[in-house]
Amino acid sequence: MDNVEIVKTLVHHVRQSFLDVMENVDQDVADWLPPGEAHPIRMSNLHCLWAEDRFINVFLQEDPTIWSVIGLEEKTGLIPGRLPSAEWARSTPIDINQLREVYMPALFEGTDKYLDTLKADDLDKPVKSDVTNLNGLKAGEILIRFALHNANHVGEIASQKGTQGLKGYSF
Amino acid sequence: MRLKKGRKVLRATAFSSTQMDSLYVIKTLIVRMHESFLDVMENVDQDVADWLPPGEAHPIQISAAHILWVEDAFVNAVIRESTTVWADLGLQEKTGIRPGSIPNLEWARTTNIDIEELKRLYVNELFDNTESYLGNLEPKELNREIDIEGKGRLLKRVLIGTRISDIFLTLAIHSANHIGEIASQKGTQGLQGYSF
Repeated sequence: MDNVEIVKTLVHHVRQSFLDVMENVDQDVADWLPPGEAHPIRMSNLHCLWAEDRFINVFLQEDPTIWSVIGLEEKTGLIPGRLPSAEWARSTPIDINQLREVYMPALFEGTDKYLDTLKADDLDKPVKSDVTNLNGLKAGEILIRFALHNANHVGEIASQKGTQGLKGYSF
Repeated sequence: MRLKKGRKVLRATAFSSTQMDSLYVIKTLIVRMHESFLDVMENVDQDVADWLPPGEAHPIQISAAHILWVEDAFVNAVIRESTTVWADLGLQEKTGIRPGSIPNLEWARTTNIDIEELKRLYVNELFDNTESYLGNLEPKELNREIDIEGKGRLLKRVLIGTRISDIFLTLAIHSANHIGEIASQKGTQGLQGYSF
């Protein structure tokens, strides 16, 4: 496996684990508000997709987000970025089916196209980001951080399925 | 908190290369995952770790131990065919627990783990061991196939593949998933999950 194949395999399997954990999540399960300050599944779901959009399109390609290109920014009034507060994360409604049917296909297609163009040297290119601790990192490091970030949030979703008495992962 | 003691030498070893070749990617992935574990566990004491979530979710104590046991099993038992750090430290004999998969939900929610002992004795030793192994690995070794026959009934199902690189990719994703579970169950107790 060369460096690009390793990164592509990593991103592919993180996506598979996201699809696996969301497989049997409906709007009711996604909307359920956990005790304390934990995020409801709908927000962890959205946050994973927004992170992919920003990492792949904004940081790595200096393009607009797919979210805005397909009109979801205008329609929802929500702009992809860091979650403003726990209160916002716990109270903002998210249409899970809209994410599944409209956003995910376009987002994943764009990510796959980008990954298919990657060459070994591309992983060493420095990346511009408005997030201070990401600015100037190599593209390879950005892709690693994106993968680990989303794998973390997949775990959050699994755990909050468990809190509702459901099985977290399919395996 | 003693978790971060001893990490500097290994991080320098991990980043001795300047180009993001295959080995650099794997090292970076594992070191970042380790940092993320240390971050999420930083302010977790025994009470927070023991707290039993509603439903069927795992308490933090078992998520934390499971992350460490799987790393120990993958790196030492599966790849290196050696004894685990857990056993070498005498924790297997002391606790009667062998590193591996979680037997069942009931076990996950009722087994007691001494989280302070994990932090004090096990975490640094294990992470140092893994990063030291990666620090001495030849790049071509990443493509070496590992024979997993007889090394665990669930391995075939969970591993991305059987090359060393595949095993480290599986380890990183698996650990990151469970780190997210810990963050979420800190949140359920009204605590901030990650430090950032």
